Amino acid sequence: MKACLICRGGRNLCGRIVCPIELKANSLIKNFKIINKKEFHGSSPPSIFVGRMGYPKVHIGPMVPPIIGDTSIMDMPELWINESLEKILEYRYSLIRGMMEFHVDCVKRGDKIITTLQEISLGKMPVDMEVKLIKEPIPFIKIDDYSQPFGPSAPLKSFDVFSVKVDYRLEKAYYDWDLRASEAVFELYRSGVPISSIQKALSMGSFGLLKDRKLVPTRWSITAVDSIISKRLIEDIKGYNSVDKYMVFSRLYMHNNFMAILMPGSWCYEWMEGWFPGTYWNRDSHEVAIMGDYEDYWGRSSYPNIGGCYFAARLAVAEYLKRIKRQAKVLIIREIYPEFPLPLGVWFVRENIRAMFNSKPIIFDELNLNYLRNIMRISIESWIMNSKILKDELFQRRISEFH
Amino acid sequence: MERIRIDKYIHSLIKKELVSFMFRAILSDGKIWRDIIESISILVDEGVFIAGPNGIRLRAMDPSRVAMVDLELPASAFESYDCKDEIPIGVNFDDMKSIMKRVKTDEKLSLEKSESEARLKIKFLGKFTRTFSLPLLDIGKEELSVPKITFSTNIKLLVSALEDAIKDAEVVSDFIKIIVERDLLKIIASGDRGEVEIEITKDSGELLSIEFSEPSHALYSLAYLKKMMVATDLSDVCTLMFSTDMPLRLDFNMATGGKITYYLAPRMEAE
Repeated sequence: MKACLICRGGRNLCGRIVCPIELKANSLIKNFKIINKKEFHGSSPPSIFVGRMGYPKVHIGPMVPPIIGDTSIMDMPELWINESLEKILEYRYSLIRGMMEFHVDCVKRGDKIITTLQEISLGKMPVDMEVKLIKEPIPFIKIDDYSQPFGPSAPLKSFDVFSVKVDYRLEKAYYDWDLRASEAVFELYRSGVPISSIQKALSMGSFGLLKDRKLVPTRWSITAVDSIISKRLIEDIKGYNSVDKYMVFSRLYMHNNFMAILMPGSWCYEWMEGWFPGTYWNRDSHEVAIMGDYEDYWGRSSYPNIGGCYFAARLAVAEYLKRIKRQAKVLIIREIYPEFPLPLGVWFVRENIRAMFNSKPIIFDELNLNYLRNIMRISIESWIMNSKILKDELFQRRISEFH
Repeated sequence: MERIRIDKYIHSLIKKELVSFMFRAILSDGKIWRDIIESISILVDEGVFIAGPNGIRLRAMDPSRVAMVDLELPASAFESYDCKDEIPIGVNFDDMKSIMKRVKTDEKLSLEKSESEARLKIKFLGKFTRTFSLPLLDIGKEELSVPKITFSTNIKLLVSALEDAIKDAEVVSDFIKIIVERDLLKIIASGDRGEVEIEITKDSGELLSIEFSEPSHALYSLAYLKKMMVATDLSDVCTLMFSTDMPLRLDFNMATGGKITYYLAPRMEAE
């Protein structure tokens, strides 16, 4: 497997100092206004960044644009599904990250700076702040497959926060020192708090048993939230009857072709990606690269190769099945075409699949390979060869057939 | 005060065994029940034991309906056994498994269900007595029948040989092909990662007996076969039966009496 497909901008496997895809992203922001102020006023969406380099000593800080007003959309991926790529990059590029180094366990000590950042992470609307940086921010945008792009950063000297309007639901979980983090995440989701808000508060170590609280790098907390919520939804789903027909959903968006095939049977789930030659993680190859991961009814015990997207898509389909009160064998496929410019984060997968499940499915009495062939560019045979669920559906017989 | 006195009174009745039990069984080795529960719970999350005058049985299908487990535990397998009528005991196997993980060596096990309670009492009788109480599930009694197949092969072999063959095959593939011809059991696996061929013969002593009416071959999923190997704790010898492109049957006879049987549906050969 190609190094890029495994690394996805996160591990520098090619040995270069800067990921080539990151360079491409930065060529797109050349014309954006450079922010060269060391001190400024601004409204944080609210937004906090927790880095992962150097774990357990990590860089954290508030993200603030030099703009006063309603900036909430800048850190709310739930609202980006119809935004253009330029607009999304512009939002992210205007958010300046002031960085300080902390040990992840600092949360337990009740440090003043940490409690202030935690308070910001509980905010329900933009927070006005004054930021003083030690240096001018470096005009650079960071890209990887998991988190949304991150804008310029600089070491932080100090910051002042005016008043924070906290979300009372997040605040309640924050003060509940006997509530486990996973319980808090699910309860907040159930009470309607957006995924991105839960994720921010989790990364600031705002939930969990007091002795367990710590900072969680933003990138990890995004996947943790998707994973925790979908796992709980799946427990409920397993109690429902199976869908009785084959349902096919599809959605073509920004040179990505998403498809979901729901088949009668007990819950199991597979996520597959097909990267065309010339796509950013499969640049120099002449062949489509197919990767996938799978869990059976009993779930999985190891971390999937694909990581973030696997759980983001699992959350979106679990939400749908919970809504229609059914279980199913689920295969989700994503074809990525060369024109798709940049990785934007797992929100792109989550929100697209959510949108796809809001569309009307095409319904069949059997697995209609001809129909599938027509809605995909990669041959159905290649998918079958790589897919556990398709192979199981086509080749595995059932005990009930022999009665 | 009044409340406490009544509670104490009821307790004393239970102690004096004046409250009647519908079902009560004692196993001389608690670990056997633990192993039985493990070998069922790898396939099903909920199921109904039927306790009757002659013993306990359970039949359940895995959620994908690819495999089936069939347990028979006769009254003679127990140190003492008492059950007048047939009663269903519906359990969540995850919960039962967690309880059974607590059993210690040399502990006896007692299973009790009284008429009034929708609970199963699981008692560990060792140096001291520990009593767990498991809430029972009211699961609709879906009477399953076992697949009707005439098997063309019947092979007795050491479970260690089968377990090893499965582990070998897993290195290269997700499924195996089982072939019986002459007096030979052949297991083949192949995939992107390579190929492996295992021959088990009578000469090595691992194949105890082999009978077949015609040469047979079929494909089976390794994921399921691997799960079934949990039952190897219950027996050193297993019986494998199958026919060409038909389900496989795997019997584990327990030394203390009783039997676990698995059925596994075949895979079709891909073109």
